[in-house]
Amino acid sequence: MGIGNQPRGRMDPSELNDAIRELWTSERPLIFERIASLSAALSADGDLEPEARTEALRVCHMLAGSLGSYGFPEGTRLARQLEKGFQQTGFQYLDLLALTEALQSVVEGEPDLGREESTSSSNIQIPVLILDDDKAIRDLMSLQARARGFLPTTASTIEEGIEEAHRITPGAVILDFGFPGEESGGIEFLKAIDKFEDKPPVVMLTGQHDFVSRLTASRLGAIGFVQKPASPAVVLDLIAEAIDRRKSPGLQVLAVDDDADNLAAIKAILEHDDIRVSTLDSPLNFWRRLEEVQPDVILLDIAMPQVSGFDICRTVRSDSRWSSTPILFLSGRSDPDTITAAFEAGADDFISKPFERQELVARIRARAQRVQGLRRTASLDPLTGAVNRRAATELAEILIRQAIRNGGPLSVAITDIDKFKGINDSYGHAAGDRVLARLGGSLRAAFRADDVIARWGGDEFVVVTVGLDPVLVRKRIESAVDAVNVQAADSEQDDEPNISCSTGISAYPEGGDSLTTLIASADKRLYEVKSGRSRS
Amino acid sequence: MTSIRALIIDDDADILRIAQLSLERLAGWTVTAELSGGNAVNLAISKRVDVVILDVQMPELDGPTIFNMLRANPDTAGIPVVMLTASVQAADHERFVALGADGILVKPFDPTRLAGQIEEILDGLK
Repeated sequence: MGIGNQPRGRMDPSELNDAIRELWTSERPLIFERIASLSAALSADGDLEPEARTEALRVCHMLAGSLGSYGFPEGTRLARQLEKGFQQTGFQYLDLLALTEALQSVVEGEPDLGREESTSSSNIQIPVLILDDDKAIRDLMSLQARARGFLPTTASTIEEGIEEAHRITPGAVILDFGFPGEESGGIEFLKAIDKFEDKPPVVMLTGQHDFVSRLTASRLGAIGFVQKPASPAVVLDLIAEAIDRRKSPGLQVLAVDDDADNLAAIKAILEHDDIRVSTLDSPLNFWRRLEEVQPDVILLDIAMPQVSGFDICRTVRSDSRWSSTPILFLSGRSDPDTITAAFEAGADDFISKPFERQELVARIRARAQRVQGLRRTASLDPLTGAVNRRAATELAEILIRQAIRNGGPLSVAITDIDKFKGINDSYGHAAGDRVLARLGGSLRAAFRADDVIARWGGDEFVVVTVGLDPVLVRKRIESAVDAVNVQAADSEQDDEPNISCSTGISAYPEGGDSLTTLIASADKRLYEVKSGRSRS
Repeated sequence: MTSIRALIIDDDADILRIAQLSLERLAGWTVTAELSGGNAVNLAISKRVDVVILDVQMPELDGPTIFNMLRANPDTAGIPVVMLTASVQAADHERFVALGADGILVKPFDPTRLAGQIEEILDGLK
């Protein structure tokens, strides 16, 4: 797809990776020299002179900035740690020397280029520590973690695990509960990493253990428990979610109150806890704001002029798109009649003023998390990770209304896999499923989180994007399809089908101003592409 | 779509080479690469660049200084500037936003996605 019309001399991602590998071969001596200069600085007698320290910091900074692009994410991580180490006065000599040695051995290995495309890019460079005394489990988890773009490290004893945790500062930990001779060894490990500045999320693999140990573990920061035999997919999903949660800019709350002082206070409290807050002091603009903000939680005052909080709550509840968004009332009143009326109007929670800061934050988080968990499972297509048709329709309609309001460009693309039935027939349905799963994954990687990537049915995907030129949309879809073929070539399966796709794109306003009309004109384009192809 | 013209300034020649490969050969951009920022304003004007990509930590002129030079000249004040930083500190990123940078990219970047990331930033400015 599209390769024929690329200007001469243009590369595709795999050619680019080859070129970078070549560049690495010629630049390697220089990088080795830089690392050697660090060892030399460390081996000098006594503490570092200020100039030598500045120079070492500069070298670390450079290495951190470039090694990852050469395909050594682990090199970047080690260089960052070294940089941190050199910044401290009275640093631990031997630690830095060990880090430098580790860095040297990393760059002596093969660059890991091009694998990025076979995985979701968001997990790249995140080291995961797998701590289990059972080798089979370690291997299995490790394999799957690598396949999903993590950097797995394994350990078989608590002692070794603690050592590794200090060495690699893991972004997440998969932890066995019991170890031979140490029935609750997992707890010991959690205690050991409890002092970490950046405590990683921990998923525990449990056998039959009592409630109290689980409680202890979750107090020490374990975010999930999976019963053995644990499915690696389930465990890694939990980890990926936890990492996403940390990376995401946090919850979004819409607070409505006619008192600007109240709003300012709520905003200050919640933002202190990394919750984003949009405020609205006139309920009349509520719907417009709701669609702009797309909050995870709505906070409502009860007594407002024009429209009461109860009325807003009832209308939100009657709209299927928002019916599951948690609504919390904040009110100076706490009489039973008011509270009853709030719940009858559809409230999820009622908080009386004055409230405790911590309580407000905890209640908001608890409501949001529950709903997010439910929503994810209900609206995602399990095979491809794309949203299903029903959820996509709701999301797309919101985007279209926004585009109409802002006059912004919006594109709707329909992509289907050419001769997909033939793939199923000749390679088998399992291979067909793998193709679909890869295409779903690489489409999601190619677009932003705000874009809608949907499995529309069978082998048909729909992408709805705002603010992106249709030419770029097509380019991204093409690169996602290329990525699928690269992944197929890299996979452990011997005979994976290569695919091509056909895409029809329509844009607002030329192609229509509703999802139905936009889909219809994109479909028409798709049909033209397909019939053009079969004639030629 | 017309090709994007970019000026990239970084004191690490490796970064320039990788970025140039990625932006020119993969994305079809026209790239001017410089190891230092002394000529930044003149180059931005003469090459009629659509975007300037600036490393932050450089000897002599650092990224923020070059940024200010570009903004101080009416002929370059409107050109979007993306800061390219090896720092992952939120405080640093906040500083670049406060300075008025149009976007921040963290090194190391993924060469297969660099152009897309910058395009996204530019799209967001429209």
